[in-house]
Amino acid sequence: MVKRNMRNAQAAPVTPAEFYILLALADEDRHGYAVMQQVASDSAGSVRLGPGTLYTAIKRLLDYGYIREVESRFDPDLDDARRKYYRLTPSGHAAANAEAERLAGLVRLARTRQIINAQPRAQGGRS
Amino acid sequence: MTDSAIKQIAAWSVRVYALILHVYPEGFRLEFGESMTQVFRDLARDAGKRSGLTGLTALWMLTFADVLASVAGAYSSERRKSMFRVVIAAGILYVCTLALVTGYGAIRFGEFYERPAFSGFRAAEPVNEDKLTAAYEQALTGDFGRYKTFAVGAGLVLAVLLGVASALFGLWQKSLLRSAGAFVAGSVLTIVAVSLLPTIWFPLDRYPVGFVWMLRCFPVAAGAWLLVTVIGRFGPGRARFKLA
Repeated sequence: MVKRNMRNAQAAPVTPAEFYILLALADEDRHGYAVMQQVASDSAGSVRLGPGTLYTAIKRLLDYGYIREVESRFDPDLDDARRKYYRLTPSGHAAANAEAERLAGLVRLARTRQIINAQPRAQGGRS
Repeated sequence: MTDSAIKQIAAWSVRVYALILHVYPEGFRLEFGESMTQVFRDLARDAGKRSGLTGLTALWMLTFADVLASVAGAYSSERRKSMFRVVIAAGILYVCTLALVTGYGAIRFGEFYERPAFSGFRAAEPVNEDKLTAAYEQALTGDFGRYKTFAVGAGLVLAVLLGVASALFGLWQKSLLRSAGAFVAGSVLTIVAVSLLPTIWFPLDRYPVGFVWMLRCFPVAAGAWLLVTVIGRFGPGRARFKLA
């Protein structure tokens, strides 16, 4: 199982929504609704996951071994229902790291090509 | 609208959402349905508190879009899981059939060559080499005497199972190369198995009868493999193959 997860970790890059979920679980275990709120907060409201999108992404991350379910418990800030909590695994940490490196590489490339932090080359040049 | 009315609408929204969850595949719903309903309940409660009926209406619009966007993904992952079960079932069926055919076949071959099955005949009676060789030559032409029905039937069943199981493995793995590898591995296993026991009974310095018998069935195995692979590639499921 571990080998399979490692193979999948190499083969399966994460989607933006999945990357946000991995980041939401990076500092603590969270249940589904807390993940949803954290993703909305981290993305300044630009990424809003519905329950369907959230749990299909969670299922994929569970299948890849990037996250795992931990003991169900109550959330004192919400109601008295037991909730499933999820935790980032070492392979999930590695996948998030790889995705972050990939995005950082793209940002470096964009800087090199003067797409960001640079004046547009053709500013006022066309009319 | 009063707070209690908003709460009532939120509670009904949760019930309706729990019904809508039936559009998701059963396995997915059993695993995550309760959690999804719980999350929707949290969303409905917060939307009702924050913006009343307007908030709940907005939540429903987002929820419909969410269901439409996610249901295909849920079916895709479930289909892969059910495909895994089908491949395992086909593999187990093939191995069990092979074991049955080999065991039963060993007894039948023994009777065919007029030797009592599993009776230590070698020590008890001398081997009639001429008779043995004549029967062997006869078997090589596909004539198994009164056991012909068993030999032909078992050969065809094994060939079809081999072709289908290896094709399903390839569809599951989405790889033609792995499918071909499974076919070759299954063929080797089948030939070894069907050759081994008759060889014990007929220690002739020739091709084992089982080997020749299975070679005759290979076109059927290849045909079954091709048929299932083509249906999987162009049929309703449409697996997208990689070469490797």
